[in-house]
Parts: sequence; C-alpha cells; structure tokens
Amino acid sequence: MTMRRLEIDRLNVQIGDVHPVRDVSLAIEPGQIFGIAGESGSGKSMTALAVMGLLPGGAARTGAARLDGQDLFALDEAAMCGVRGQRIGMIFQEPMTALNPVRTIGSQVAETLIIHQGMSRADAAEIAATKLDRVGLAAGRVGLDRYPHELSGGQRQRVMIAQAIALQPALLIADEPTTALDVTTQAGILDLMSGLVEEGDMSLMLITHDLAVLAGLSSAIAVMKGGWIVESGATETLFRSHRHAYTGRLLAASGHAPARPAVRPAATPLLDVENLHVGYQTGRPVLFGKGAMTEAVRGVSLAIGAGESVGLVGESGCGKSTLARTILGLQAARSGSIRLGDDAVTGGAMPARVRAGMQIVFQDPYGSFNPRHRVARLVAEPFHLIEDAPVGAARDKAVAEALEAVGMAASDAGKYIHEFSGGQRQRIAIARALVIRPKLIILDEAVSALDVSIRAQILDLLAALRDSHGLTYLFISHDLGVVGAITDRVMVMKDGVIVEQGPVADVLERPDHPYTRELVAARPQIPPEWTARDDR
Amino acid sequence: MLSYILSRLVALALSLVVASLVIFVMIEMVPGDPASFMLGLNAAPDTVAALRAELGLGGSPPERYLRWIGGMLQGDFGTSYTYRTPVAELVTARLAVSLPLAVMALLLSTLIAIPVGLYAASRRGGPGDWSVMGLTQLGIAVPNFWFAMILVVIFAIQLRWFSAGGFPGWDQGVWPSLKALTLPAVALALPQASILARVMRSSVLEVLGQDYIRTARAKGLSRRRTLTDHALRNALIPVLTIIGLQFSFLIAGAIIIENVFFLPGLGRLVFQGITQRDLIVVESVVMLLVFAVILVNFLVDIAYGFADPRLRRR
Repeated sequence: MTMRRLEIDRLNVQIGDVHPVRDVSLAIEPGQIFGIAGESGSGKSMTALAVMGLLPGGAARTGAARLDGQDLFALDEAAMCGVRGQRIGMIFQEPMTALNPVRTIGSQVAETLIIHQGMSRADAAEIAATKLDRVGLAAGRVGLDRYPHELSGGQRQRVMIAQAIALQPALLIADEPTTALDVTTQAGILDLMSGLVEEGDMSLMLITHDLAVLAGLSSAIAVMKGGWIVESGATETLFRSHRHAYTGRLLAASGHAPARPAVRPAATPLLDVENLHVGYQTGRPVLFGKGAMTEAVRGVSLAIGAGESVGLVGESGCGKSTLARTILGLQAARSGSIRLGDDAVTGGAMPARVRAGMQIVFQDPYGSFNPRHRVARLVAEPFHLIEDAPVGAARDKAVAEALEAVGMAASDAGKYIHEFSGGQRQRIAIARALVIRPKLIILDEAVSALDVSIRAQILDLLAALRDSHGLTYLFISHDLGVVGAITDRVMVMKDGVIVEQGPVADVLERPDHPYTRELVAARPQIPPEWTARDDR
Repeated sequence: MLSYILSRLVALALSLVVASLVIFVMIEMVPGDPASFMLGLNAAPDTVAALRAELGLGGSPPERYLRWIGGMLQGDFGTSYTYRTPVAELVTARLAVSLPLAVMALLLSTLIAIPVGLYAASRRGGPGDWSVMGLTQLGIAVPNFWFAMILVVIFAIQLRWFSAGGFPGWDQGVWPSLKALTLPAVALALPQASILARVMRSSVLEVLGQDYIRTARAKGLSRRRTLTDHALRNALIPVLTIIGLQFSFLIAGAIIIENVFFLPGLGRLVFQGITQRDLIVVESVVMLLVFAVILVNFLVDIAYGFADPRLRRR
C-alpha cells in the first residue's frame, strides 16, 4: 500500500461546549489537490489548524493526523515547530494583514529558511529572491526590501505563498487563499498554486467556500457542514451525482441568479453623470505645497434610468469606489456634472434633501456599524437627512418595517450588531439604506465578503426589494458573475475609464474589450454539464 | 525618510512659535505687577516706574514679545526679579539636576516596564500575569512621595546606603551626584514603570491577536521567537507615545519628589517663581519645558518612522 501524504483519522476538536470539528477523516495523496468546501463556521479552517497544531488556546483535539505516515498529534511543540513551515506550509485568507507590517518581504521569506536550516542571512536572502521570483515577484519589479503595505493584495498573497513553499513542503494548506482577491488576481493565484503542485510532488489542501473555485482545480473534494464531512469524493463525480442535499444547495448557490424583473425603461434618467473627473492627492504634502495628484476617475459619463439595475465592474484600484463616493457627494469632482433627478450633486454643503435620495451599502458588514449602538439607532440614522422625519412610535414603526422588509424580525431592533452573522448584518445595512425610501441605492461590493450561500440569499432579497420598493441600483463589484446575476446592464471600468458597457448577456457572452474578455475568462466556473442533473 | 524628518522639523518649528505666543499672552494676562509686588504696597509710583524700566517691562506687548524671543535665541533669558541673576544661569543650574533625574527615571522605567509587560502578556491569565497586574496596580495607586519616604527610611536611614536628600553638585564628582539622584529616580520611575508595563502588556496582547502572528507560527517559529521577532517591534509603537509623554512629565513634574529629597530642580524653581511673581523666570522655564516636550515629541515621531515603515513613505 502506498503511503498517504496526509491522513486525518476521526479528528474531533472541542472548545468548551462547542464541537467545531466532528469525526473528520480524509486522505490526501502525494501530488494531489484536495478541496475542502463549506460555509463559514463549517469547521474547515479548524480542521487545518488542528493539523498544524495551531488551534486557539483551550481547544482540545482527538484522533490522528498522519503526515507521510508520521502521527503529528504525537509530536511535542518543539518537534511541531520543525514540521510547520518545513514539511507543511500554510497560507491564509487575509493577505492584507497576514504579513508583518514592519518587516521587509525579503526578510519574511528568508526567515523560513533561517529558522529551519540555520542559513546565514545572505544565503537565505539569495534563496528568498529565487522563491519570490518563482511566485511572480521578480526582484527587478518588486525588491526584497519592500514592505507589505507597498504591495497589492495579490502580490502579498504571492509573498505568503513564497514563504510557505520556500522549503518545498510536502503539503501546502491554503485556507480561502483567494476569497479576498479580485477575480483576475484570484485566477493568477490559483494558477500559481496548481503550477507549484505540478512541479514537484507537493500536495495541496485547498479550503474554500466557493465550489466553483475547486471545479477546475482539485481532484477530490470533501464538503463540510456543522463540523461534519457530509459528502466527499472525486470532484467530477461529486458535482455530477452528489447525494447530499447540502452539496446541492452549495452548488446552486455558486452560480445563483435571482429572477429578474422586466426592465422598465424610464424616459429621463434618474442618475446622470457627465464627463466626470475625480482626483485625489497621493503624495505627502511638502510644507505648504500640494503632493502629487492621481486621477482616479477620468471622464466618466453614465446614465441610470429609474427602476434600472446597473452593474459597475472592475478590479481594485480602477476607480469604481471613488466614482461611487463622488456620486454620493462625499468627494468633490474636479470637473463634470452629476444630477440625481432634478438636483445637482455638488458634494460638500449640498442640501440634505439631495443626500436623502441616495444610500449606500458597503462591503464590510463588520466595520460599517458602530458596535455600541443598538440596531434601532443604526437603522434610524439616515432620518437626520429628512426634515419631517418620524419620531417616537412612528420612527420605531418605520425601523420595524425596514427590518421586516429585509427578512429580519422587528424585535432585532433592540439588539447590538455583534449578535448577528455577516449575512444578517448585511441585511441590516440594507434596512438602513431602505428606511428613508431613497431613489437610488449604491451597493459597493455589498456581497463580496459573504459565503456563496448567503450571497445567493442577499441577491434574492435585493431583487425582491427592487420590485416591491421600486428601487434603482448601482451595483459595484469586481466579480462579473455576481454583477451579471443582479443587473440589467453592466459597465466595465479600468484605470478610471469605462471601457465597455451594454446589456448583461451581451457583455458576458460577447465581451468586446480585451479587459472584459480577461474578466470573463478569469471567473471560476463549474462546467455546465456537471450540474445538468439539477435541471431535470 | 528624509522628507518625513523634514516635515516633522517644520511641525516642530511651527509648534514652538505658537507655544511662545500662547505663553507670552498668558503671562501678560496674569494679574499683579512684578515691580509693585517687589517694592511693597507703599512704594512711590515713580520708584515703581523706574523698576519697571529696569526690569524691561516697558514698551508695547509686540515689542516685548520680540525682545523676549530675540533674547532667548541669543541665550539671554532676562534677569530674575527676585534672584537678581540671569535666568539662563538659574535654569542651567537647575537643569543640571532635573535633566539627569528625568533621564535616569525614564531609563529605569523603560528597562523595567518592557520586559515585565512582555512577560505578563506571554503568560496571559496565568499567575505571572496576575502578579504583574496586581503589583502595577499598586505601583500606580501608591503616591510617589510616600514611596519616596519609604525608600528614604529603608535605604538612607536603616541601611545608610544613600543620603536622605540634597545634591552635592556635579563639580563634586559624577558618582556622588548620580548616587544622590538614585533614590529620587527610583521613586519617580516606579509609577511610570507600572503604567508603561500595563500599556506594554495590552499592546503585546493586541499584536498577538494579529494575523501575521499566526503566519509566523505557521512558518515554524516557536512561541518565544514569535514574541521577540514579530510581536515586540509592533507592540513598541504605541509604547513609544507613552514614553514620550512620560519624559515630558518627568522633567517638570518632579516637584514633589524634589521637595522630598531637597533637590534644587526645575520644578521647585517654577514653584518659587510663581509664588513670588517672578514672571520672567516662569515665562522662561515654561518656554523651556514646552521646547523640551516638543523636542521629545519630535524624537518620538522620528522613532515612529524607524519602527513603522508605513509612516516613512513618500
């Protein structure tokens, strides 16, 4: 019998009364890409941390994890330090925070070599350079002496990979490595990882909430829910003939598109943006002078009709969020005009009445609420924008209605935001946007931080609200697929310019601009024939 | 980095100008004329006027402000009304006590606090952490003059290792002077060290919760090396701020301890200056202290720049 690369045998993890991992057994072969799929809280990250011996304090584990036949749970901490980084490398979801901000990327990659091999700094730096080169960060472009904050999210994730593979580990564990990244960047990172697996006999344990990511990559998948593995098997077989209902739901959620209301073309546009230019200062101002200016939005014109849902797609840094802030009047334009209905959006001291016509829902459901206020107060916040805002019982009623409209209970108004999950918080954020009945809602990456299944629910909710409340959406995202699912028309933005726009189906199926083609190709997809069964 | 230092230097100069204006205006507004105060209630008006002229109190406020600033830039701080000696000499003599005392106290406090805070954080929730938290709580609660008296009782009266007070002067040799400053420095350092150790502890704990600490552990670093190689430098960044504030406090805030140990320091000089309406002394010392505080903040800013590359950019 050949030796398994990693064999997890009846792993249980317990933290107090909670069992995040229950009876998990799986086997990964040498050179195999093995996917673990599941929503947040399904126990997939805990499984990985248990193998690494890095569970949070107070957690107990039972069972066994054998790496090339050696039981890792039998090793003491000192021996495990020798395994981590040398025989098992690991990378995490948050590339923005996973690197030490005060050390250069070169020294962080070299550190792996220094601590395990006792290499000199100079030797380690030399090898670190070749490793960074391997992950696509050539020394000519991104020097060893750069700091993490000088790099983009994708580049940081490449640094993470470089330090994880520096010693050619037998196993690489990647925990949601691309969830925080743009689709095009994600495609690059996934490509890099599969390339690294093909080069040697390294195995890859790829943890993700998105089955579509695994479809083109892994040879076997385990689906987790509530700490259990509910189903596992070869990737294609699992997709074609999944037995467990949960796997089906996860699959359906991955490419979910809510039913779209018929487009009602409006005679005059609700939002009319003309030849907009927006810049901001980048450099540190020297004495009384001004720093360098960067032009984030360069001559954008667009019109959105009342009741329309329009998507704006582009990768981070393309200017789409700046455009959204300028439309909201939160940032001054350098030139051009913005009109909402009959009113000009001028930024600065524009009338509250104009502001009340637009609301926004942000990406981060954790950071966009004051944790010390109750939901009632959070949702009622936009009322300060309108003169005859309801007070007392009428206000409570309006808040309750808004909460119920987004599928929450009226009684949730008395709770604090930490009592809710990410999906629930995003519903509350939508309720806050709805409460003063704005004409336009801007959704800035509003579902990007959510698991696929939660994302599907929020997309359904948005579609239903658009119908019932007569809303107009500007839906901003880096993910062309998600935008396609919820909008009638899509605009593609790159480097501050809208490079292509048109009806969703046209843009998705016949992309014209090379950048749009790249975006369409980068989106991970489950081959349609694999999921054909669902339509039967 | 150079442009960062330059921008900090500009901020330093601007702060000094604003501070000097504020001090000048405030001193102008203080009721009570030094000349009539010195001559007593029954002095003849022309005697008072003559003294005012002699003290340099004549002229319009802007004139006096410029004269004051111009003098200070040349090292001329004016003449003390009560001591009748140049303020510069007075201040230099007092600084020779206060500055070394503040530096000693700060060194002591930092050298105690950083390892102790690091230790407590690494033993979070354990007996070591509890003891540190308890002791530092006590260190903050106990007034430093009381602690100073305890020190005197033990080390000066019982053990006779140190003298109970007084300052021999640096011309009597470095060692006796340092010895005279030791007990006061310890008394000053203890509460500061207690505060700093707690700041250090919470700062380290916050850093230990960061993602990059998990990354370091996943690379195979031991707990200890993670602490020293990754957590320490990041945790020191907020601690630097507190160290800067403490140094500013120690230069001028040692007045009670100076009294307990009969040290001729800056704190006592200001106190006497205020009670005797010796405004020229107060003005100069306050300006000097402001300068010291701004300078320390500048140094802290520069240290930030070294500790945190994110501040250096562009």
